[in-house]
Amino acid sequence: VTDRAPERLAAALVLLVASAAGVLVSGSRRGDTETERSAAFQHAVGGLGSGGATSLVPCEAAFDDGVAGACAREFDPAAGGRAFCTHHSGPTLGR
Amino acid sequence: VGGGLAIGRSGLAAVLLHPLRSAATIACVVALLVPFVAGLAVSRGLADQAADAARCGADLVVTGLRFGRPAPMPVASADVLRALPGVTSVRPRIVGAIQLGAAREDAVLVGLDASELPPGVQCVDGRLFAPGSRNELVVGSRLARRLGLVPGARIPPFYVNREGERVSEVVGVFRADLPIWEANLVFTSIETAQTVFDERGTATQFLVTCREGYADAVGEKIARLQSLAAPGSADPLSPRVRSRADAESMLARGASFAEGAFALHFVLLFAAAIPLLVVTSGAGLAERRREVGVLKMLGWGTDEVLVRGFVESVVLAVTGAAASVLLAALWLGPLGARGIAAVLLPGADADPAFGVPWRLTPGPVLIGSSLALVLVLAGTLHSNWRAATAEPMEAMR
Repeated sequence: VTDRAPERLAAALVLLVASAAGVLVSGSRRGDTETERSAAFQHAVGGLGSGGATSLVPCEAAFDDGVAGACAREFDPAAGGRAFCTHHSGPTLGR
Repeated sequence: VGGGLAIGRSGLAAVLLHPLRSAATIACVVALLVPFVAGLAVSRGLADQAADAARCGADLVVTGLRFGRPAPMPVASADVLRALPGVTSVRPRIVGAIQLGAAREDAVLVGLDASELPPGVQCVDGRLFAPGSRNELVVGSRLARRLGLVPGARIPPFYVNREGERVSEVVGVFRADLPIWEANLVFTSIETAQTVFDERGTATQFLVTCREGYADAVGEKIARLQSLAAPGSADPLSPRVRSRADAESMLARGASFAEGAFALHFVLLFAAAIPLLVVTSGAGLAERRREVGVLKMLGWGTDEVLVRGFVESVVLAVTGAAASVLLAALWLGPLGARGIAAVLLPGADADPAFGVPWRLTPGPVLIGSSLALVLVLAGTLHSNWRAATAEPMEAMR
Protein backbone atom coordinates (compact mmCIF):
# COMPACT_ATOMS: atom_id res chain seq x y z
CA VAL A 1 0.00 0.00 0.00
CA THR A 2 1.56 3.26 -1.12
CA ASP A 3 1.32 6.54 0.78
CA ARG A 4 -1.54 7.94 -1.33
CA ALA A 5 -3.41 4.66 -1.89
CA PRO A 6 -6.08 5.30 0.79
CA GLU A 7 -6.84 8.72 -0.72
CA ARG A 8 -7.10 7.16 -4.18
CA LEU A 9 -9.42 4.51 -2.81
CA ALA A 10 -11.58 7.19 -1.16
CA ALA A 11 -11.75 9.10 -4.46
CA ALA A 12 -12.68 5.94 -6.36
CA LEU A 13 -15.33 5.17 -3.76
CA VAL A 14 -16.84 8.67 -4.07
CA LEU A 15 -16.89 8.26 -7.86
CA LEU A 16 -18.57 4.86 -7.59
CA VAL A 17 -21.22 6.13 -5.17
CA ALA A 18 -21.86 9.21 -7.33
CA SER A 19 -22.30 6.98 -10.41
CA ALA A 20 -24.71 4.73 -8.52
CA ALA A 21 -26.66 7.76 -7.29
CA GLY A 22 -26.84 9.10 -10.86
CA VAL A 23 -28.11 5.76 -12.15
CA LEU A 24 -30.61 5.62 -9.30
CA VAL A 25 -31.94 9.11 -10.05
CA SER A 26 -32.23 8.49 -13.80
CA GLY A 27 -33.60 4.96 -13.29
CA SER A 28 -36.27 6.11 -10.86
CA ARG A 29 -37.96 8.33 -13.46
CA ARG A 30 -40.30 6.87 -16.03
CA GLY A 31 -39.78 8.35 -19.47
CA ASP A 32 -42.62 10.24 -21.13
CA THR A 33 -42.21 8.21 -24.31
CA GLU A 34 -42.56 4.96 -22.40
CA THR A 35 -45.68 6.24 -20.62
CA GLU A 36 -47.22 7.45 -23.90
CA ARG A 37 -46.56 4.15 -25.70
CA SER A 38 -47.95 2.19 -22.80
CA ALA A 39 -51.08 4.36 -22.75
CA ALA A 40 -51.51 4.07 -26.54
CA PHE A 41 -51.32 0.28 -26.31
CA GLN A 42 -53.78 0.16 -23.43
CA HIS A 43 -56.25 2.48 -25.19
CA ALA A 44 -56.07 0.23 -28.28
CA VAL A 45 -56.72 -3.04 -26.44
CA GLY A 46 -59.13 -1.61 -23.87
CA GLY A 47 -56.89 -2.03 -20.83
CA LEU A 48 -55.20 -5.39 -20.60
CA GLY A 49 -52.90 -7.04 -18.06
CA SER A 50 -52.31 -6.84 -14.34
CA GLY A 51 -49.91 -9.63 -13.40
CA GLY A 52 -46.51 -11.00 -14.34
CA ALA A 53 -47.71 -13.54 -16.93
CA THR A 54 -47.52 -12.98 -20.67
CA SER A 55 -50.07 -15.64 -21.61
CA LEU A 56 -53.21 -17.19 -20.17
CA VAL A 57 -51.49 -20.55 -19.66
CA PRO A 58 -51.22 -21.83 -16.99
CA CYS A 59 -52.92 -19.03 -15.01
CA GLU A 60 -55.39 -16.54 -16.49
CA ALA A 61 -55.53 -14.46 -13.32
CA ALA A 62 -51.77 -13.93 -13.46
CA PHE A 63 -52.22 -12.35 -16.88
CA ASP A 64 -55.21 -10.16 -16.09
CA ASP A 65 -57.44 -10.44 -13.08
CA GLY A 66 -60.29 -9.01 -15.16
CA VAL A 67 -60.20 -12.18 -17.27
CA ALA A 68 -60.37 -14.55 -14.30
CA GLY A 69 -60.81 -13.56 -10.69
CA ALA A 70 -58.92 -16.50 -9.18
CA CYS A 71 -55.81 -18.53 -9.87
CA ALA A 72 -56.54 -21.29 -12.39
CA ARG A 73 -54.66 -23.75 -10.21
CA GLU A 74 -57.03 -23.15 -7.26
CA PHE A 75 -59.19 -26.15 -8.20
CA ASP A 76 -57.07 -27.85 -10.84
CA PRO A 77 -55.50 -30.39 -10.64
CA ALA A 78 -56.51 -30.42 -6.96
CA ALA A 79 -58.13 -28.08 -4.47
CA GLY A 80 -55.47 -25.73 -3.08
CA GLY A 81 -53.30 -26.21 -6.15
CA ARG A 82 -52.61 -22.45 -6.09
CA ALA A 83 -49.58 -23.22 -3.92
CA PHE A 84 -48.04 -24.91 -6.96
CA CYS A 85 -48.87 -22.17 -9.46
CA THR A 86 -45.65 -20.75 -10.85
CA HIS A 87 -47.24 -17.29 -10.72
CA HIS A 88 -48.65 -17.47 -7.21
CA SER A 89 -45.91 -19.14 -5.23
CA GLY A 90 -42.24 -18.49 -4.51
CA PRO A 91 -40.37 -15.25 -5.08
CA THR A 92 -42.06 -14.34 -8.36
CA LEU A 93 -43.49 -10.90 -8.96
CA GLY A 94 -47.03 -11.52 -10.19
CA ARG A 95 -49.88 -11.75 -7.70
CA VAL B 1 -10.58 15.37 14.24
CA GLY B 2 -7.10 14.64 12.97
CA GLY B 3 -7.00 11.43 15.00
CA GLY B 4 -10.38 10.37 13.64
CA LEU B 5 -9.26 11.04 10.07
CA ALA B 6 -6.09 9.05 10.66
CA ILE B 7 -8.12 6.11 11.94
CA GLY B 8 -10.45 6.43 8.92
CA ARG B 9 -7.45 6.53 6.59
CA SER B 10 -6.10 3.44 8.30
CA GLY B 11 -9.49 1.73 7.74
CA LEU B 12 -9.20 2.51 4.02
CA ALA B 13 -5.67 1.14 4.02
CA ALA B 14 -6.95 -2.04 5.71
CA VAL B 15 -9.20 -2.65 2.69
CA LEU B 16 -6.16 -2.48 0.41
CA LEU B 17 -3.93 -4.52 2.71
CA HIS B 18 -6.03 -7.63 2.07
CA PRO B 19 -7.23 -7.27 -1.53
CA LEU B 20 -8.36 -10.87 -1.89
CA ARG B 21 -10.42 -10.80 1.29
CA SER B 22 -11.93 -7.42 0.36
CA ALA B 23 -12.77 -8.60 -3.15
CA ALA B 24 -14.40 -11.80 -1.82
CA THR B 25 -16.50 -9.81 0.67
CA ILE B 26 -17.62 -7.30 -2.00
CA ALA B 27 -18.42 -10.18 -4.38
CA CYS B 28 -20.63 -11.80 -1.71
CA VAL B 29 -22.50 -8.53 -1.16
CA VAL B 30 -22.93 -7.98 -4.91
CA ALA B 31 -24.13 -11.56 -5.48
CA LEU B 32 -26.85 -11.03 -2.86
CA LEU B 33 -27.85 -7.47 -3.65
CA VAL B 34 -28.01 -7.48 -7.46
CA PRO B 35 -30.96 -9.92 -7.74
CA PHE B 36 -32.68 -8.17 -4.82
CA VAL B 37 -32.40 -4.69 -6.36
CA ALA B 38 -33.19 -5.99 -9.86
CA GLY B 39 -36.22 -7.94 -8.66
CA LEU B 40 -37.77 -5.00 -6.85
CA ALA B 41 -36.99 -2.72 -9.82
CA VAL B 42 -38.87 -5.10 -12.14
CA SER B 43 -41.73 -5.23 -9.64
CA ARG B 44 -42.04 -1.42 -9.70
CA GLY B 45 -41.84 -1.39 -13.51
CA LEU B 46 -44.57 -4.00 -13.74
CA ALA B 47 -46.73 -2.08 -11.26
CA ASP B 48 -46.39 1.06 -13.45
CA GLN B 49 -47.57 -0.85 -16.52
CA ALA B 50 -50.45 -2.44 -14.63
CA ALA B 51 -51.47 1.01 -13.37
CA ASP B 52 -51.56 2.20 -17.01
CA ALA B 53 -53.83 -0.74 -17.86
CA ALA B 54 -56.23 0.20 -15.08
CA ARG B 55 -56.09 3.92 -15.89
CA CYS B 56 -56.57 3.56 -19.66
CA GLY B 57 -59.06 0.72 -19.49
CA ALA B 58 -62.82 0.86 -19.10
CA ASP B 59 -64.57 2.17 -15.98
CA LEU B 60 -66.09 -1.26 -15.45
CA VAL B 61 -65.13 -4.71 -16.78
CA VAL B 62 -68.10 -7.09 -16.73
CA THR B 63 -67.69 -10.85 -17.06
CA GLY B 64 -70.25 -13.63 -16.87
CA LEU B 65 -69.94 -16.44 -14.35
CA ARG B 66 -71.24 -19.98 -14.41
CA PHE B 67 -70.26 -22.38 -11.63
CA GLY B 68 -68.29 -19.42 -10.29
CA ARG B 69 -66.02 -19.51 -13.36
CA PRO B 70 -65.82 -17.08 -16.29
CA ALA B 71 -68.21 -17.99 -19.09
CA PRO B 72 -69.00 -16.39 -22.48
CA MET B 73 -71.88 -13.91 -22.62
CA PRO B 74 -74.18 -13.14 -25.54
CA VAL B 75 -73.18 -9.87 -27.19
CA ALA B 76 -76.90 -9.00 -27.21
CA SER B 77 -76.72 -8.62 -23.42
CA ALA B 78 -74.71 -5.47 -23.98
CA ASP B 79 -77.99 -3.73 -24.81
CA VAL B 80 -79.17 -4.39 -21.24
CA LEU B 81 -76.08 -2.60 -19.94
CA ARG B 82 -76.38 0.24 -22.47
CA ALA B 83 -79.89 0.94 -21.16
CA LEU B 84 -78.63 1.65 -17.64
CA PRO B 85 -78.53 5.35 -16.74
CA GLY B 86 -75.02 6.77 -16.74
CA VAL B 87 -73.58 4.26 -19.24
CA THR B 88 -71.98 5.94 -22.27
CA SER B 89 -70.61 2.91 -24.11
CA VAL B 90 -70.34 -0.86 -23.86
CA ARG B 91 -67.65 -2.63 -25.92
CA PRO B 92 -67.76 -6.42 -26.12
CA ARG B 93 -64.29 -7.98 -25.96
CA ILE B 94 -63.04 -11.51 -26.38
CA VAL B 95 -59.95 -12.68 -24.48
CA GLY B 96 -59.06 -16.31 -25.00
CA ALA B 97 -56.16 -18.73 -25.23
CA ILE B 98 -54.99 -20.20 -28.53
CA GLN B 99 -51.90 -22.01 -29.75
CA LEU B 100 -49.96 -21.14 -32.88
CA GLY B 101 -47.24 -22.74 -34.97
CA ALA B 102 -45.68 -26.18 -35.05
CA ALA B 103 -44.31 -25.67 -31.54
CA ARG B 104 -47.85 -24.76 -30.35
CA GLU B 105 -46.85 -21.44 -28.87
CA ASP B 106 -49.33 -20.19 -26.28
CA ALA B 107 -50.95 -16.96 -27.39
CA VAL B 108 -53.66 -14.64 -26.07
CA LEU B 109 -56.29 -13.79 -28.66
CA VAL B 110 -58.01 -10.45 -28.01
CA GLY B 111 -60.92 -9.42 -30.18
CA LEU B 112 -62.42 -5.92 -30.20
CA ASP B 113 -64.75 -3.99 -32.46
CA ALA B 114 -62.48 -2.52 -35.16
CA SER B 115 -64.64 0.57 -35.58
CA GLU B 116 -63.94 1.64 -31.99
CA LEU B 117 -60.14 1.53 -32.19
CA PRO B 118 -58.44 4.85 -31.44
CA PRO B 119 -57.12 6.62 -34.56
CA GLY B 120 -53.38 6.97 -35.27
CA VAL B 121 -52.10 4.13 -33.10
CA GLN B 122 -48.29 4.35 -33.12
CA CYS B 123 -47.40 1.24 -31.13
CA VAL B 124 -47.50 -1.15 -34.08
CA ASP B 125 -45.06 -1.86 -36.91
CA GLY B 126 -47.49 -2.12 -39.81
CA ARG B 127 -51.12 -1.26 -39.04
CA LEU B 128 -54.09 -2.37 -36.97
CA PHE B 129 -56.82 -4.55 -38.50
CA ALA B 130 -59.34 -2.65 -40.61
CA PRO B 131 -63.08 -2.41 -39.88
CA GLY B 132 -64.98 -5.06 -41.82
CA SER B 133 -61.85 -7.09 -42.53
CA ARG B 134 -61.64 -10.79 -41.76
CA ASN B 135 -58.67 -12.69 -40.37
CA GLU B 136 -56.37 -9.69 -40.13
CA LEU B 137 -54.12 -10.10 -37.11
CA VAL B 138 -51.72 -7.93 -35.15
CA VAL B 139 -49.25 -10.13 -33.27
CA GLY B 140 -47.02 -9.60 -30.25
CA SER B 141 -43.26 -9.15 -30.48
CA ARG B 142 -42.32 -12.47 -28.84
CA LEU B 143 -44.77 -14.41 -30.94
CA ALA B 144 -43.52 -12.70 -34.09
CA ARG B 145 -39.93 -13.58 -33.25
CA ARG B 146 -40.70 -17.19 -32.34
CA LEU B 147 -42.81 -17.79 -35.45
CA GLY B 148 -40.89 -15.55 -37.85
CA LEU B 149 -43.91 -13.34 -38.51
CA VAL B 150 -43.68 -9.91 -40.13
CA PRO B 151 -46.38 -7.59 -41.50
CA GLY B 152 -47.72 -9.20 -44.66
CA ALA B 153 -47.04 -12.78 -43.51
CA ARG B 154 -49.81 -15.32 -43.93
CA ILE B 155 -50.73 -17.94 -41.34
CA PRO B 156 -52.41 -21.17 -42.48
CA PRO B 157 -55.67 -22.05 -40.68
CA PHE B 158 -54.86 -22.71 -37.02
CA TYR B 159 -58.43 -23.20 -35.78
CA VAL B 160 -61.46 -25.33 -36.49
CA ASN B 161 -64.74 -23.71 -37.44
CA ARG B 162 -68.06 -25.24 -38.47
CA GLU B 163 -68.18 -22.95 -41.49
CA GLY B 164 -64.63 -23.64 -42.61
CA GLU B 165 -61.27 -22.09 -41.91
CA ARG B 166 -59.35 -19.28 -43.59
CA VAL B 167 -55.78 -18.19 -44.04
CA SER B 168 -55.00 -15.29 -41.72
CA GLU B 169 -52.81 -12.30 -42.54
CA VAL B 170 -50.46 -10.54 -40.17
CA VAL B 171 -51.00 -6.83 -40.74
CA GLY B 172 -48.96 -5.54 -37.82
CA VAL B 173 -46.50 -6.48 -35.09
CA PHE B 174 -46.57 -4.83 -31.66
CA ARG B 175 -43.36 -3.06 -30.74
CA ALA B 176 -41.21 -4.77 -28.11
CA ASP B 177 -41.08 -1.69 -25.84
CA LEU B 178 -44.76 -1.88 -24.95
CA PRO B 179 -46.20 -3.40 -21.76
CA ILE B 180 -45.27 -7.06 -21.35
CA TRP B 181 -48.79 -8.28 -22.11
CA GLU B 182 -48.23 -7.57 -25.81
CA ALA B 183 -45.58 -10.32 -26.01
CA ASN B 184 -47.90 -13.20 -26.92
CA LEU B 185 -50.88 -11.18 -28.04
CA VAL B 186 -52.90 -11.80 -31.19
CA PHE B 187 -55.10 -8.75 -31.59
CA THR B 188 -57.95 -8.87 -34.07
CA SER B 189 -61.55 -7.87 -34.72
CA ILE B 190 -64.26 -9.39 -32.55
CA GLU B 191 -65.76 -11.11 -35.60
CA THR B 192 -62.46 -12.83 -36.37
CA ALA B 193 -62.06 -13.81 -32.70
CA GLN B 194 -65.55 -15.35 -32.75
CA THR B 195 -64.62 -17.26 -35.90
CA VAL B 196 -61.37 -18.55 -34.38
CA PHE B 197 -63.18 -19.83 -31.29
CA ASP B 198 -66.17 -21.04 -33.37
CA GLU B 199 -68.49 -18.91 -31.25
CA ARG B 200 -71.70 -17.27 -32.45
CA GLY B 201 -72.46 -13.82 -31.09
CA THR B 202 -70.66 -14.16 -27.77
CA ALA B 203 -67.95 -12.24 -25.92
CA THR B 204 -65.99 -12.90 -22.75
CA GLN B 205 -66.11 -9.34 -21.37
CA PHE B 206 -68.00 -6.09 -21.67
CA LEU B 207 -65.94 -2.94 -21.29
CA VAL B 208 -68.31 -0.37 -19.83
CA THR B 209 -67.61 3.36 -19.89
CA CYS B 210 -69.75 5.62 -17.70
CA ARG B 211 -70.37 9.29 -17.29
CA GLU B 212 -68.21 10.85 -14.62
CA GLY B 213 -69.38 9.93 -11.14
CA TYR B 214 -71.70 7.16 -12.32
CA ALA B 215 -69.30 4.20 -12.30
CA ASP B 216 -70.07 3.01 -8.75
CA ALA B 217 -73.84 3.25 -9.17
CA VAL B 218 -73.74 1.52 -12.55
CA GLY B 219 -71.45 -1.18 -11.14
CA GLU B 220 -73.91 -1.85 -8.31
CA LYS B 221 -76.82 -2.05 -10.73
CA ILE B 222 -74.99 -4.50 -12.99
CA ALA B 223 -73.98 -6.65 -10.02
CA ARG B 224 -77.64 -6.80 -8.98
CA LEU B 225 -78.77 -8.06 -12.43
CA GLN B 226 -80.01 -11.63 -12.08
CA SER B 227 -78.49 -12.89 -15.30
CA LEU B 228 -76.59 -11.75 -18.37
CA ALA B 229 -77.87 -14.69 -20.40
CA ALA B 230 -79.77 -14.11 -23.63
CA PRO B 231 -83.44 -13.17 -23.15
CA GLY B 232 -85.52 -16.31 -22.80
CA SER B 233 -82.55 -18.45 -21.82
CA ALA B 234 -83.04 -20.58 -18.73
CA ASP B 235 -79.30 -20.91 -18.15
CA PRO B 236 -77.95 -18.70 -15.38
CA LEU B 237 -75.11 -16.29 -16.11
CA SER B 238 -74.18 -14.17 -13.10
CA PRO B 239 -72.45 -10.85 -13.66
CA ARG B 240 -69.07 -10.08 -12.11
CA VAL B 241 -68.06 -6.44 -12.11
CA ARG B 242 -64.56 -5.09 -11.62
CA SER B 243 -64.30 -1.34 -11.41
CA ARG B 244 -61.23 0.75 -12.09
CA ALA B 245 -61.01 1.53 -8.38
CA ASP B 246 -61.11 -2.21 -7.60
CA ALA B 247 -58.33 -2.83 -10.10
CA GLU B 248 -56.17 -0.04 -8.71
CA SER B 249 -56.63 -1.17 -5.13
CA MET B 250 -55.94 -4.79 -6.09
CA LEU B 251 -52.78 -3.71 -7.89
CA ALA B 252 -51.52 -1.78 -4.87
CA ARG B 253 -52.23 -4.71 -2.54
CA GLY B 254 -50.84 -7.26 -4.97
CA ALA B 255 -47.64 -5.30 -5.59
CA SER B 256 -47.02 -4.85 -1.85
CA PHE B 257 -47.67 -8.52 -1.20
CA ALA B 258 -45.44 -9.66 -4.05
CA GLU B 259 -42.62 -7.34 -3.03
CA GLY B 260 -43.01 -8.43 0.60
CA ALA B 261 -42.83 -12.12 -0.30
CA PHE B 262 -39.90 -11.42 -2.61
CA ALA B 263 -38.06 -9.41 0.05
CA LEU B 264 -38.75 -12.08 2.67
CA HIS B 265 -37.01 -14.69 0.56
CA PHE B 266 -34.02 -12.38 0.32
CA VAL B 267 -33.98 -11.66 4.05
CA LEU B 268 -33.67 -15.42 4.57
CA LEU B 269 -30.93 -15.49 1.97
CA PHE B 270 -29.13 -12.61 3.69
CA ALA B 271 -29.33 -14.47 7.00
CA ALA B 272 -27.86 -17.55 5.36
CA ALA B 273 -25.09 -15.39 3.90
CA ILE B 274 -23.80 -14.16 7.26
CA PRO B 275 -21.79 -17.36 7.95
CA LEU B 276 -20.41 -17.09 4.42
CA LEU B 277 -19.19 -13.57 5.11
CA VAL B 278 -17.78 -14.63 8.46
CA VAL B 279 -15.71 -17.20 6.60
CA THR B 280 -14.59 -14.79 3.86
CA SER B 281 -13.78 -11.96 6.23
CA GLY B 282 -12.25 -14.26 8.81
CA ALA B 283 -10.07 -16.00 6.23
CA GLY B 284 -7.19 -13.74 7.15
CA LEU B 285 -7.83 -13.81 10.90
CA ALA B 286 -4.27 -14.77 11.84
CA GLU B 287 -2.98 -11.94 9.68
CA ARG B 288 -5.52 -9.56 11.20
CA ARG B 289 -4.48 -10.56 14.72
CA ARG B 290 -0.86 -9.82 13.97
CA GLU B 291 -1.80 -6.49 12.41
CA VAL B 292 -3.90 -5.53 15.42
CA GLY B 293 -1.13 -6.68 17.74
CA VAL B 294 1.30 -4.30 16.02
CA LEU B 295 -1.24 -1.45 16.26
CA LYS B 296 -1.79 -2.09 19.95
CA MET B 297 1.95 -2.19 20.59
CA LEU B 298 2.13 1.20 18.84
CA GLY B 299 -0.41 2.54 21.34
CA TRP B 300 -3.80 2.03 19.65
CA GLY B 301 -6.72 1.41 22.01
CA THR B 302 -9.35 -1.31 21.55
CA ASP B 303 -11.99 1.28 20.57
CA GLU B 304 -9.70 2.75 17.91
CA VAL B 305 -9.05 -0.69 16.47
CA LEU B 306 -12.80 -1.33 16.36
CA VAL B 307 -13.45 2.03 14.66
CA ARG B 308 -10.80 1.14 12.09
CA GLY B 309 -12.61 -2.18 11.46
CA PHE B 310 -15.94 -0.32 11.23
CA VAL B 311 -14.55 2.04 8.57
CA GLU B 312 -13.22 -0.95 6.66
CA SER B 313 -16.67 -2.61 6.82
CA VAL B 314 -18.47 0.55 5.71
CA VAL B 315 -16.13 0.92 2.73
CA LEU B 316 -16.71 -2.72 1.73
CA ALA B 317 -20.49 -2.47 2.17
CA VAL B 318 -20.80 0.86 0.31
CA THR B 319 -18.62 -0.44 -2.53
CA GLY B 320 -20.74 -3.60 -2.76
CA ALA B 321 -24.04 -1.67 -2.63
CA ALA B 322 -22.98 0.94 -5.23
CA ALA B 323 -21.62 -1.75 -7.55
CA SER B 324 -24.89 -3.66 -7.12
CA VAL B 325 -26.97 -0.68 -8.25
CA LEU B 326 -24.76 -0.19 -11.31
CA LEU B 327 -24.79 -3.89 -12.19
CA ALA B 328 -28.57 -4.20 -11.68
CA ALA B 329 -29.16 -1.21 -13.98
CA LEU B 330 -26.75 -2.70 -16.54
CA TRP B 331 -28.46 -6.09 -16.35
CA LEU B 332 -31.99 -4.73 -16.68
CA GLY B 333 -31.19 -1.99 -19.20
CA PRO B 334 -28.53 -2.66 -21.84
CA LEU B 335 -28.48 -6.43 -21.22
CA GLY B 336 -32.29 -6.68 -21.44
CA ALA B 337 -32.72 -8.71 -18.21
CA ARG B 338 -31.28 -11.81 -19.89
CA GLY B 339 -31.39 -14.74 -17.49
CA ILE B 340 -33.21 -13.00 -14.65
CA ALA B 341 -36.47 -12.37 -16.59
CA ALA B 342 -37.38 -16.05 -16.62
CA VAL B 343 -36.87 -16.21 -12.84
CA LEU B 344 -38.88 -13.11 -11.98
CA LEU B 345 -41.58 -13.50 -14.63
CA PRO B 346 -42.43 -17.18 -15.10
CA GLY B 347 -43.15 -17.97 -18.73
CA ALA B 348 -40.67 -15.41 -20.06
CA ASP B 349 -37.72 -16.73 -22.05
CA ALA B 350 -34.19 -16.51 -20.69
CA ASP B 351 -33.63 -13.96 -23.45
CA PRO B 352 -37.01 -12.22 -23.44
CA ALA B 353 -38.21 -10.88 -26.78
CA PHE B 354 -40.14 -8.13 -24.99
CA GLY B 355 -38.88 -5.20 -22.96
CA VAL B 356 -38.80 -6.16 -19.29
CA PRO B 357 -40.15 -3.16 -17.35
CA TRP B 358 -38.04 -1.81 -14.49
CA ARG B 359 -37.77 1.25 -12.32
CA LEU B 360 -35.12 1.70 -9.68
CA THR B 361 -36.38 3.35 -6.51
CA PRO B 362 -34.35 4.59 -3.56
CA GLY B 363 -36.26 2.50 -0.98
CA PRO B 364 -35.07 -0.98 -1.97
CA VAL B 365 -31.56 0.36 -2.61
CA LEU B 366 -31.38 1.89 0.88
CA ILE B 367 -32.76 -1.28 2.45
CA GLY B 368 -30.29 -3.36 0.45
CA SER B 369 -27.38 -1.09 1.40
CA SER B 370 -28.32 -1.26 5.08
CA LEU B 371 -28.54 -5.04 4.88
CA ALA B 372 -25.15 -5.10 3.16
CA LEU B 373 -23.64 -3.06 6.01
CA VAL B 374 -25.21 -5.33 8.62
CA LEU B 375 -23.89 -8.36 6.73
CA VAL B 376 -20.35 -7.07 6.44
CA LEU B 377 -20.31 -5.84 10.05
CA ALA B 378 -21.60 -9.21 11.21
CA GLY B 379 -18.77 -10.81 9.30
CA THR B 380 -15.92 -8.51 10.33
CA LEU B 381 -16.76 -7.08 13.76
CA HIS B 382 -16.44 -10.39 15.56
CA SER B 383 -12.98 -11.14 14.16
CA ASN B 384 -11.93 -7.53 14.84
CA TRP B 385 -13.21 -7.76 18.40
CA ARG B 386 -11.36 -11.02 19.03
CA ALA B 387 -8.15 -9.57 17.64
CA ALA B 388 -8.58 -6.23 19.44
CA THR B 389 -9.23 -7.74 22.87
CA ALA B 390 -6.29 -10.14 22.77
CA GLU B 391 -3.04 -9.20 24.53
CA PRO B 392 -0.59 -7.65 22.02
CA MET B 393 1.98 -10.39 22.62
CA GLU B 394 -0.71 -13.03 22.20
CA ALA B 395 -1.98 -11.34 19.03
CA MET B 396 1.52 -11.09 17.59
CA ARG B 397 2.19 -14.79 18.11
